[in-house]
Amino acid sequence: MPGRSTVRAIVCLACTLAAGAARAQGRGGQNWTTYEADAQRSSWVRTDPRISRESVEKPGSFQLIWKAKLDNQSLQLNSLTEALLLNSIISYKGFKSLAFIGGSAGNVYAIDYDLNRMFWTRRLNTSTTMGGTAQCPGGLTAITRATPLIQGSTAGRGGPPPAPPAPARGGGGGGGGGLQMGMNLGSAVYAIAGDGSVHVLNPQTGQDLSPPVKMLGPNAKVIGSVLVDGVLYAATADNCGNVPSGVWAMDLGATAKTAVNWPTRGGSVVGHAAPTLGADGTVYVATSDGDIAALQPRTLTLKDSFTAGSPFAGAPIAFEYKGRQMIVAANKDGRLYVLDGASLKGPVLQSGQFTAGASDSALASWEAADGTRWIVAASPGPTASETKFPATNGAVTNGSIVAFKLLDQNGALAVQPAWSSRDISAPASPIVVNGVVFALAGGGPGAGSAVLYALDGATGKELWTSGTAMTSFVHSGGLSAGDGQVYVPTYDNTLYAFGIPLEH
Amino acid sequence: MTRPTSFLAALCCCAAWSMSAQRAGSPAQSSNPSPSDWLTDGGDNQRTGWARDEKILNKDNVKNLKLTWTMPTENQPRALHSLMPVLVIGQLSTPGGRKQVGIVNGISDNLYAFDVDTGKMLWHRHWTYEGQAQAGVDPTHLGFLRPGGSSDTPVIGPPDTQGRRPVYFVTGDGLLHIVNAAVGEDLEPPFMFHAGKGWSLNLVGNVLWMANTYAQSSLAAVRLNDPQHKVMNFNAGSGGAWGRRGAVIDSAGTAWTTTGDGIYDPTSVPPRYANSVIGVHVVGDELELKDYYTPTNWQWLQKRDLDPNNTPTIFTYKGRELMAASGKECRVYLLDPKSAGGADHQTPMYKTPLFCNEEVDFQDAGSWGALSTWEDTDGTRWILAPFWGPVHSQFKFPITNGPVTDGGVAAFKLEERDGRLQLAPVWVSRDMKRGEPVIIANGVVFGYGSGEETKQSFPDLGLQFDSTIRAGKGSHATIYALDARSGRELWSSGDQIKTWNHFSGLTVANGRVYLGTYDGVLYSFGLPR
Repeated sequence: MPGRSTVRAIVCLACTLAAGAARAQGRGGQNWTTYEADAQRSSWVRTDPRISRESVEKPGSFQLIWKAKLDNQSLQLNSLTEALLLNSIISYKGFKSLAFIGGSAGNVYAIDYDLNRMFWTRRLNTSTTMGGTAQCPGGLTAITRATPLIQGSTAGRGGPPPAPPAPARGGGGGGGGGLQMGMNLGSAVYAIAGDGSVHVLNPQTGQDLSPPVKMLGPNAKVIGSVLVDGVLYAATADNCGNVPSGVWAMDLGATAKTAVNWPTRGGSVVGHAAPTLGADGTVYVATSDGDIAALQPRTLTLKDSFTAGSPFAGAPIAFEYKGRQMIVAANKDGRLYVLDGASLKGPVLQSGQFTAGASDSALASWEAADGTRWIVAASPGPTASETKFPATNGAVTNGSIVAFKLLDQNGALAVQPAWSSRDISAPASPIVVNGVVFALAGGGPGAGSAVLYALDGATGKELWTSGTAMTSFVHSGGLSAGDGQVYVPTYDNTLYAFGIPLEH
Repeated sequence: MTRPTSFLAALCCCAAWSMSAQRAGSPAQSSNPSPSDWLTDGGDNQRTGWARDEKILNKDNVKNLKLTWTMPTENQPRALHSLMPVLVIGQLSTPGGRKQVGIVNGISDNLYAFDVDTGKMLWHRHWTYEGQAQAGVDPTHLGFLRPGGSSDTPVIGPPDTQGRRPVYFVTGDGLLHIVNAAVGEDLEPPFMFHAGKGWSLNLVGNVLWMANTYAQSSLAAVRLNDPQHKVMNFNAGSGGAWGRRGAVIDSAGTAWTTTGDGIYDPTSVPPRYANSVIGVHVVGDELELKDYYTPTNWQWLQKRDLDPNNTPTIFTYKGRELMAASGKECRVYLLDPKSAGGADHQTPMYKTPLFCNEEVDFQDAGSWGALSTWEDTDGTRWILAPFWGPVHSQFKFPITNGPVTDGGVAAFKLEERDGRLQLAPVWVSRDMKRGEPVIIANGVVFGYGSGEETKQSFPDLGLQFDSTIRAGKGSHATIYALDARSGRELWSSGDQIKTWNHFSGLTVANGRVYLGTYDGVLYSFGLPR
């Protein structure tokens, strides 16, 4: 077992190695390291080696590649988490491309996602009783990997090729740098178990790299976590397990590992992927109190806040737009709220009402090659008549994905409706891969199985659908993507991988 | 000492000489009772590994092999490297009389000559140069990818008019040394050839070839009779050549090599031909790409670091020249040197299914080093691939010799079916801890397990380049003699070899089997007198 100083040293390495490990080991681009892709919760995969509008649209190209039934036990409606990706690790069994998935019953899985081979399974030893209520199911609900504060613009395989000469490796194999022991930590999986303890898992084996640390009380409902600069952030909802709703932070590199907390005003943190970090590390969170709070990094001291007249319906996303840190969140009033992260109390831009009443509306955002900033939102129910979308793709009765452009009109920001998708029932958080929007009709108990759609990011036109490939609904998990594949975890503990096959 | 000019003139007289010619040579050679030569790694320009001239060892007597001597060289290991494969001159006039002489180099810029009968060192040369040693750095801790030093197995040229045999050897500073095999003195002043992680030299006529890793040049060549010693280079834009027997030369003089890890993009400027098998030839005083083969799954190979990484072998089958290549992915490709990958450069004549490396592991599995080939008395053409790790569960060899977990030797024969050539699996050897390139002699396949710890990443430590970690986990090399038609074990060195080796190779010549190990000890096994 490593000593305390050693633990501190190696945990401190995690932040610096998070990006470095990916680069040095990486044979691809961006990794999906945390819920909604990055610390800004953009759900945006900037480049991809195989997924593009053209390739997805090509008949027979995009397909179900594999599915894996995991031995996890569902708790209430919770089963699997979003899959996190590590596109290349030089492991003791060779180069592996791993998907990490949390299971509600305290399981963490690592699957070689090119081969659908289980690499390791870890069953966290939790002493708590699991399986509480539908609102508070207990168990493991969040995993993350170390995540760079800002996702680099480094192109992946879909981007411009690196310049010759050749990489450092060759036929003799081996990695490109002296990461050595830090490599494991830089690629570690951080799991918050049902008992509230943080496990730092060796990406090669699933074993603890350091002794578990207590961060939360048992049976909390963690709706997201992210490790940035050595600090693990987590958000809790619904006061489950008597753990107050709010944001938590723990410096895993500190000698005394103490969690700090920012509690809500009594409501719950909302969304499936909280908290959100801005480019300067400010922590943003939206609540059912109608608040968007800006918190200091590490300490979670309240910096700023905005209060709307109604609860927010999803976690905020953050992105830079013309030099400004923008924060966007969907409200239950059916509108998008666009705030300047530097001053939440400043002028707040609202979109028109696009949905009659969003109880749960997740967002994604990307910047197109022409500089256009896009925002897409899951829109439950029919599209509200207040907002007219220039491009539509059929009648919407159950729900849809709607897209907006953020415009700078002579110095004034505007949210311009762009398109609405085909009818998509119970739409889950959309994601964007190289200009293709993937949308999920989540289904539900008695409401059918999940269906994945690929939409043209510019028009919303349906490019591809999974049809009846999936046989269960999606509740706890969400979409994730990278390296040519899109992952869907369903309630029946099956992980589906859709994509364009790579010849082996 | 003879003046360099006179030596050069003598060499020019032998311009037409090549090891190919020698191998294809006169029947008189095969009936000559004098000891045969083993002048280059793999035995010939085609890197067949076939000791055609071996007249002593055979299937009946190989079981009697004994350790005849060991020779400590005191070569300083660098990273994991130590001694390279032995070369043998059957008869050489030395100051001590005519002897059968062995030549072996050590990674720390050492060249040794020894009397094969006694294991006594005849001479030793050691070179020093700036940058050879790093202050405060124990060379055993160096990273195994870039050991520095002299990793190239030398090559021995034809005798000059005075009967002197030149040994061509490149030291870690890139200088080519041409040394008199009899006494170790320079026959010519050294000149700059190429600094890099060079592999076995191949001499064809007057052209000396070296395949390189980490040198911005995959293949380098120099005409020995060029007074300017212009070095010709070709860079495949990859992670470099890794085949241990270096370049392999076809009948047209094209030098072939596998290219290692990296990108395949023939449209880029400059083009990149990683994960490929390339053929390069001399045009004027430059090296130019002549042809290449790139597997269609090269992106997968690149993603998992499964590149073709061993030296191909070239042979003739029913009058047609063919080439076999392999690598870490663990297939064997059958290629036509006249059109290696067909019109699209991605269509081999045949490729086997994966016969090992089901784990998709770049470090503990796959085929490494070099392929070997021989022709049986009935005309059967055999291809032999060493490999690491277990046999693929979906690949079936008709003849097996026990469970294989750590590696071994896979034997294929060339067959014609429906008008097409293919490689049919025949046998797989017993288990060997990391099967290494083989030598074939008189129906006996000599292979060995290096005993090396090949892992580069460890569950607890992650990726580690400090070679002492791997060195500390090695066991010992074991040589096996196998029936070439069945793989059945005929003899084993057992525990007689005390330590392991890395990227070295066996030599079989005139009734003796040689292997060097990490600790700088050279072992010789032979038949009791």
